[in-house]
Amino acid sequence: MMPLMVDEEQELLQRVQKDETPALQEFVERYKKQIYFLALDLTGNHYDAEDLSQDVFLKAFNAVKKFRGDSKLSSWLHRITVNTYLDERRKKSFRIMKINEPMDQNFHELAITDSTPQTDLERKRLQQEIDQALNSLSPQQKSVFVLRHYKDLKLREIADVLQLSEGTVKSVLFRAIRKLQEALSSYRFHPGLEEAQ
Amino acid sequence: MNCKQFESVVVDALYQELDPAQQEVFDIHRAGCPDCASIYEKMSVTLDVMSRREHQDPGEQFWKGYYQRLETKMEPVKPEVRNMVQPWMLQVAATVVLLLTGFLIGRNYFGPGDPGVEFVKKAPSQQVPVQTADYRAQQFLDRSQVLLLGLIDLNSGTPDSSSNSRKQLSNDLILQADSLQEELKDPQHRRLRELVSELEIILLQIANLEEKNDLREIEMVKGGVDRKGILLKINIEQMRMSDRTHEEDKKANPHL
Repeated sequence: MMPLMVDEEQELLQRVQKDETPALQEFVERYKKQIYFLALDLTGNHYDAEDLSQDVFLKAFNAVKKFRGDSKLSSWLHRITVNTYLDERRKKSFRIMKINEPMDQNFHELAITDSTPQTDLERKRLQQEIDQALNSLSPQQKSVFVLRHYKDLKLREIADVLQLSEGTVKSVLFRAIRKLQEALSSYRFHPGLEEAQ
Repeated sequence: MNCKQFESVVVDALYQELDPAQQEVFDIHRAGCPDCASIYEKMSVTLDVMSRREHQDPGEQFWKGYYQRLETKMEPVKPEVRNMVQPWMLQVAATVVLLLTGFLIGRNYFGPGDPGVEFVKKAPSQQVPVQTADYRAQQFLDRSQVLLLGLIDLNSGTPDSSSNSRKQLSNDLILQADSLQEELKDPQHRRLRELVSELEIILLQIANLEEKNDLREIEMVKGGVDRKGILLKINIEQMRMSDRTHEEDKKANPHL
């Protein structure tokens, strides 16, 4: 069972359910980063991440009156995000579906960094390897992995978000990690990894 | 614990989700089984590598305009209209748009006169205020279009001598974009406002390009322009604004 919402969250939810415009904005301001970064992990590029995260808020506004508050608002939003992502993937509407297109065409490139060209190149290469490995996962595997590894949700919480059994989540995650291991096999001898090995 | 049982709980172990008793049994098997120990180590290294993924923040400008951009999507789309649109209609519409775009590009860039001047000249006597939001948007789109076309024309064989002026122009346009979005709040300008917002992000990318001629970064920006169909959207908005100007002309002077 998920932890119940705190009072502040409950109060915000009630105001959103009454369609109060300031509450809608407060709701978005509070969760936009969380949902955007989840969407970025799932889609792999900034443009789709913005579209996906905004779709999530639109869906949330439409469905919020039916939300009974029996889980955390963030978990509910995670569920909408992952389900919207999986729906879009079924429709193949994301731009990243082009085969072999690198996934780093996003704000990795927009950020101004003060690193040296060599470390910057190294960093970009690693990011690209990681992105490609993530991209090798099926949508379901990616959703489970991202929720566990980057959003730190427990296996039972992921089971709740995706409405799967905990055993299924575990099995999907196991296969996902093995697939990532395979995709990153060329990276095993990278000098930066000795400490991890 | 046997190897099959080990495999069924290895994920829990990797994420420290085993209780102490289970963990102890798991560790005993791992210590005595080289195959299972190897599986665990390799998976653990993989997770370490994946933890190095960076989450770059898109920046203050992006977050500042996030709710505003979302608001533009909140306007309801009538479902009956959506259902009426058939695929062939979209194809016909796309063809017409392409033809009109070609015509407009030809007229603007190969025709006589300065299009910006012509725009102002069209209704000198009708006292159309020169500083309307439409006029400023038109200027903004024209300058952005020239900037993007210049960027797209760059290729690996061409030395890029205009990066400083391009960045300067981008910075100017970013400032304009901010105030322009405030002025374009009414529903009839929704698409225009969205386009200005999209352009603002691309302009930020251009303004943040490194000093040196980094073609890979430039290719990224070009990719974004291409994927979002920015130039096509600019042309469509230019046509819409042109139509609005003609309608205003007609209203102001029915004899024209």
